Amino acid sequence: MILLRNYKWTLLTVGFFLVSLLFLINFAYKKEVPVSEKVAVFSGEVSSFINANIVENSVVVLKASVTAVRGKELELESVISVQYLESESQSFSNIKKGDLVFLKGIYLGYDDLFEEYKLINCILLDDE
Amino acid sequence: MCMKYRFLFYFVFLSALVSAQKYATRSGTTSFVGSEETFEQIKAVNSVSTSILDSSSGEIAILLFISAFDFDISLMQEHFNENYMDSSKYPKATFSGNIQNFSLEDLSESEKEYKVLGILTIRGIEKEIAVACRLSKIKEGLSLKTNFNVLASDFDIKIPKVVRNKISKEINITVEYDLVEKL
Repeated sequence: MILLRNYKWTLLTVGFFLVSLLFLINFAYKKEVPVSEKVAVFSGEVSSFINANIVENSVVVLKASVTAVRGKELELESVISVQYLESESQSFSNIKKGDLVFLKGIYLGYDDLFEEYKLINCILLDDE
Repeated sequence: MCMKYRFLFYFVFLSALVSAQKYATRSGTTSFVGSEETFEQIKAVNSVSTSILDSSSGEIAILLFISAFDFDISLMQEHFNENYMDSSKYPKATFSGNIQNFSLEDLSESEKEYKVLGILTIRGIEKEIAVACRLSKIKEGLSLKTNFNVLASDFDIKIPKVVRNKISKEINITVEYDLVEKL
């Protein structure tokens, strides 16, 4: 008790420092919010997606038909390239050309090389 | 065969030939290390880089989205995009160049070194570069690898004084692309 009284300010300072340090570490190492939890700025079909002037790096939800399957990439309606994370491979494994998909992903921008819109980190959604 | 059909035949044949001579990827890996040996190294990977190589001329084009660089620490990624690369204003980095003395016939499964000359564009600033790359034949097509340094100051990437000893002036870039024949 005497020890606590004598070193009150030292202990308080150390305590404050430790709490601040923990807060800082937590802030710096915060996990990125997964796509599934992010709010989509657009939801709709490809034609309206193209005309919507969506800002790059936004989360979008699309309903579209698959025009090609290239390994771990899908092509939607010949104008959108879709890539997904390794963790989503299982759910994307049964997708084939001609399927109608409902997915959520990050819109990166327009790829001038392939002349297509690029979506990454996509996840499949349940069509309701 | 009448002249009109002969011309059409040659046109279709040549178009097919030209398209068959292109190799491409949509999932190339471009990574960089931009720090001194610190506690938390500043490094990131972009695994959705796109590239097209014309094997008849050796012309190569690369495009990558800056915001697709993935960091281990999300706060670092945020700073990279907002404070250093200004990725909302300059969303893409590109390279357009030529692989010197490129010949598809000379390639084998073992790596062969070539010199690449071209224009690297980052943050809207163009810089002529010459780097060595290694090419080899793989099952699916071609493998292209290169590793080179660029100066952050060449692309007007401003490093604040407070982190100047943590971030190196030279950024080391590694490229590893598996290019498949583009149909």
